[in-house]
Amino acid sequence: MIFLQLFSIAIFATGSSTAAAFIAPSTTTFVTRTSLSMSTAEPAVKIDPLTTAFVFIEYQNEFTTEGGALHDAVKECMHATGTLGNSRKAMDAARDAGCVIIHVPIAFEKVRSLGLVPNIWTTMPACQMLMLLYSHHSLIGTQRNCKELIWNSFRNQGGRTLQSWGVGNRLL
Amino acid sequence: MKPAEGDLICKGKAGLCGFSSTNLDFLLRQNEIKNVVLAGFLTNCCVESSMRSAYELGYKVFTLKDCCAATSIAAQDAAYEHTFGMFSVPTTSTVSLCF
Repeated sequence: MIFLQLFSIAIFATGSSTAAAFIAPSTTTFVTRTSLSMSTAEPAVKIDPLTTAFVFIEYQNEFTTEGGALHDAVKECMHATGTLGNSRKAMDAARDAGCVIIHVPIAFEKVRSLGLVPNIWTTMPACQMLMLLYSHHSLIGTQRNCKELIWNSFRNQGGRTLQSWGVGNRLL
Repeated sequence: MKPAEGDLICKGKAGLCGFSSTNLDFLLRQNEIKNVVLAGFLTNCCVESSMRSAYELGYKVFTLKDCCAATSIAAQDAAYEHTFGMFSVPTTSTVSLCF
């Protein structure tokens, strides 16, 4: 309801007869330093485009396209909010204003073998593998290195190394 | 939502947060960005995680309610009503350009 009111105000303020959420620049001259004014329930917020980035997260077919694995889960909300249309307008306006546009897709890679003892990664139960990493110094070095290896695996792969070993439960 | 020439593509996202395991913070700092405007999927998952991280990293964060989607309208509303205001300026895509 609030959104609809804001939307009406935006159209009224510009005298625009279209449903465009963004107000086009009145001049074709490219101005390198402009400001963005956001219509919110609060007084308009001004943002300097040159220090602003629009970050678009996971606009991928899995969510956005019919048949995508997660599309059915989000389509109701997506249609209710007009997510795609509004995002496209926001992106175009921000780009024109000189903002940085950053796309953040999610991407999975095959977990690489560590190349130390290839067969052991696939044959040994995950819990035993972890115990071995912590206790058996001769396998890959000191205990400290073992912990760093696991820590770095978390950092670099979002913890998916453990998942790839079949570890579903973690005590943190 | 196809990237255009000059857009940046963040690499390495394999989890929820847009900053964790990615070069997003690097890209923002390289471009001397102070304000981060967030949109995307899912509102109460990846967008929220990224919003919290951006806030903790010191960016001024804006979230676009009508450019996000969750797995239900109730979840979307709850996120914006109770959480997003703590870490961002919740707003919409109704942006006007001022010269």
